[in-house]
Amino acid sequence: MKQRGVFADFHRDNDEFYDKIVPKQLEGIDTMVTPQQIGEYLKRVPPLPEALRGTLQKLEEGELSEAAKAASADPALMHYLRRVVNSAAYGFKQELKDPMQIFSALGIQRAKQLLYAYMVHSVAPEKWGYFSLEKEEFGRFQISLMKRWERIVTAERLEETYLCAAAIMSAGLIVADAIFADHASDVALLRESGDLDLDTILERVSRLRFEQLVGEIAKKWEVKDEIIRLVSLAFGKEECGEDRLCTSARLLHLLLFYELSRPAMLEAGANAFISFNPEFAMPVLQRFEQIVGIE
Amino acid sequence: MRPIVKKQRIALFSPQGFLDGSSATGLITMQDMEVTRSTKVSMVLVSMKKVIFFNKNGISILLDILTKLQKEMKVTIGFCDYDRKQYEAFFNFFEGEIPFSLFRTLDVAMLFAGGLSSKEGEENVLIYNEDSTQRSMQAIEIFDRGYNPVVVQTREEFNRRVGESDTFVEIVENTYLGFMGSRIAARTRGNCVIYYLKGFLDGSVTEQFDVIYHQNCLKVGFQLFMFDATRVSSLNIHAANFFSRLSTAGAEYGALIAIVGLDMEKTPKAFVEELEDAGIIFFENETDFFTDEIVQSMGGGGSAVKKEKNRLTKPVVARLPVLVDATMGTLQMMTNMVAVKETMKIQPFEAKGEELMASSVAFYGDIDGMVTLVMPRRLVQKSCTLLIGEESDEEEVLVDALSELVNIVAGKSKTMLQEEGVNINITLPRSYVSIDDLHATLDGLQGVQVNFSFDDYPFTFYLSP
Repeated sequence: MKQRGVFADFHRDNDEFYDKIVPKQLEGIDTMVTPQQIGEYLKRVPPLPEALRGTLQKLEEGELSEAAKAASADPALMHYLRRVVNSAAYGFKQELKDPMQIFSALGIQRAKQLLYAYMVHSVAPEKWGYFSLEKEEFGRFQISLMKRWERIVTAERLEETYLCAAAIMSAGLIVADAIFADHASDVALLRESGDLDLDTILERVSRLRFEQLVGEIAKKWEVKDEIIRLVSLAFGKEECGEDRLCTSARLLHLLLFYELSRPAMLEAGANAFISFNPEFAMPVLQRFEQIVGIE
Repeated sequence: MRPIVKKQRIALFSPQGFLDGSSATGLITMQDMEVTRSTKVSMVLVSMKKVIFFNKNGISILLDILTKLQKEMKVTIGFCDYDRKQYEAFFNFFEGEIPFSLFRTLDVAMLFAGGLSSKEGEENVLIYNEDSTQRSMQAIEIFDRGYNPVVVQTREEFNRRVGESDTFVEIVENTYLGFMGSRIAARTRGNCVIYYLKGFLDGSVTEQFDVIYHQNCLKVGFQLFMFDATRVSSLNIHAANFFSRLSTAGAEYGALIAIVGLDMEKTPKAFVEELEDAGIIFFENETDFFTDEIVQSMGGGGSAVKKEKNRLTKPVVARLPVLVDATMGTLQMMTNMVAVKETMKIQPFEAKGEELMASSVAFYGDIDGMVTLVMPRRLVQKSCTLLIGEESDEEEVLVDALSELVNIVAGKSKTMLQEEGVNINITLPRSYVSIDDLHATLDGLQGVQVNFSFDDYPFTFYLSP
C-alpha cells in the first residue's frame, strides 16, 4: 500500500529500512539478574585470608594472646581493629594501640564479631551502585547494628557466640548492591509499580533469596552452622517457633529494621532491602523496646 | 523514600520498621516532596502495613510534611493499612482531633480516591463507624462517588452484615475522613467514564474538575463520558460554558458527553440549548443512557468522528526505536526470554494470535501518540510473574498486571526519551476487555505494527497517533 503524507519518508517496499531502526534481534538489552551472574559474584567473594583464619582459630582455642599475634601479621586488619575499638561506639577510656591490648579488651566473642565485621567491610564497595551509601556510612550502620545486638545478647543472656550474627547479617546489603547496581533504573520502575522489596525481586527472577546468598558467603568464611541458621531465620521469611534461636532471630530481624529506619539508611534506599515481617517480630517487640530504650 | 503512585490517584509512602521522631525526618525528603508534587494525585498517604512501632513525634513530623503537600496540591492526606490498635493510637496521640484521614486499607482509600473500577450491579458499600457524624460523612462521600452506601448503626449489625461480604464492593470500617479534596469524583465502568456532580454548579466546577484525568481518558481512547447530575440543584452560565467547552474540545477525539438526571425544570432552557448545540446529549436516567442506541454503538470506543490527526508524525516515528527498545527491554527483563522481531509495517491494527489481551498507554508533550501492547494471555501470565509473584489465571489480576506492565514500559520510555532530550507525559493505562474493543478504538488509524515472538508467543507492539 502506497503511503502518503509524513509516512512517505518511512515507507519502503522491503524491511531494510526498518531493520536499521529496529534490528531483528534486539542486542544490548540486558535481562534481569540471572542465577549465573549471581554464581559468578559469589565466586568473586574472597575466602578468609590466612592471618584471619589463624586468628579465628586461636580465638576458638581460647588463646587471646596467640590470636593477637596472628592478627598482627595483617596490617590492614590491625588498622581496622584499632579504628573501630577506639571509636566512640566502643567507648574505651584509653586509646588501645597494641594488638594484645585490643584483644584483651574485646574478649573472645567480641573479637570474633569484629573479625567478621572486617571481612564484610573488606568486600564493601568503595562506590555503592544501588544504594546511595558511602563506605563510611555503611561502617557506621554496621557498628551500630553490632553494638545494639551486643546489648540484646547480654540482656537476653543469649549465647555469646551469637554476637557475630549481626556482622554477617550486614553483608546482605553489600550482596544486594552488587546484584542490583546495574539494574537500578529497572528496579525503580518495578518498585513504582509493585512496591516490591529487593529480596522479592531477586527471588522472582532467580529463585534465590538474600538469606541464601549471605549463607553461602558465611560458609565460605567458615562461620558456624548455628550462626548461619540464625542469620537465615533473621531474614524473617521462615516460620519460627519459640526456642532461643528463633527468639534471637526475631530480635535480630527487628534490630535490622530499627537500624534501616534511621534517616541515613532511609535516604540511601536501604529500607526496602528486604521485606519487614511485623508478625515475625511482634512477639519480641516489647522486650526489644526495653532493651534498646525506645519510647 | 519515593512515593509509589497507585492508579494515578494515590501517592503512597511505604516505610518499614520504625516511625519515630528520628526516622520520620528521613522518610520524606525535599526531593521526595518534589516528586510527589509532580504526580498530580488526589491523595498522599503513608502505609502503616509494615510499621511495627510509631509514636506521636514521628507522626507529627510526617504530618508537617503532608500538610504542606495538602496545602500546595489540595489533596487528601493521611494514613492507611493499619490495624485496630494502630487506629486507636492515632486518636490517642491527637486526643480525638485528627487533622487527616485514616483508611483501613489501600483499597478503601482507592474507593474514596475514585480509583476503583466497577461493574454494573457492584455498587453496595458497607459502612460502619462508632461516630454518627463520620458515618454520615462517609455515606455522603461514597454516594457522591456513585456507590450505594449501606450504613449500619451498631457493631453487632456490622458483624452480621460482614458475613454477606460478597454483596459489597468494599467494606468501610475503622476509617476516618478528615479534610477531603473537593475534586469531582470519577470512575470508569467498562468503556464509559462517569463523573458525579452535586449541588449548584457554578464557575468553581472548572477548579473541581480534573482536566488532566479527562484528557488522559480521551488520549487512551475513552469516548463516552457521562455526567451524573441527579444531585445537581441547578447550574449557572459559567458551568454551562464549561460543559460546552469540554464537549467541543472532546470532538477532536470523537467523544460523546452526556448529562444524566439533570432537573430540566430548574435549568434555563437557553443553557440546555447551548449545551445541545455543543453536542451534549441529555438523558433522564442512567438506564436510558446505557441502553441508548448511539451510546451502545460507541461502547467499544469506535465513533463516526475520529481524532482529526490520524497519522503518525515524523518526530514520533523517529523515536520508534526508543519506544520499541523500552518495550522489548522491559519484557525481556520481566520474562528472561529473548524477543525476535518478525515483521514491521505501517498498517491498520491487525490482531495476531489467540486468546489475546491488550493494554494501551498514550503519551503527550514533545511528541504525541499511543502505544498498545497485544499478547496472548499465557504471555501476560509469564510477563507478570515478577509483579504478582505467581502465575495467576484470574481475569482481574491479569488485567491489572498488564496495566502495570504497560505503565512500566511507559515509564522506561519516558526515561529513555528524556536522555535524548524529548520530554513526554504519560496517561493512565487502559486495558481492553476484548480485542473487538481495541479494534474499535484503533479503527481508521494508520500506525506502525511490529510483530515479535517471545519463544513461541506472538507479541504485537502498535504505535498509533
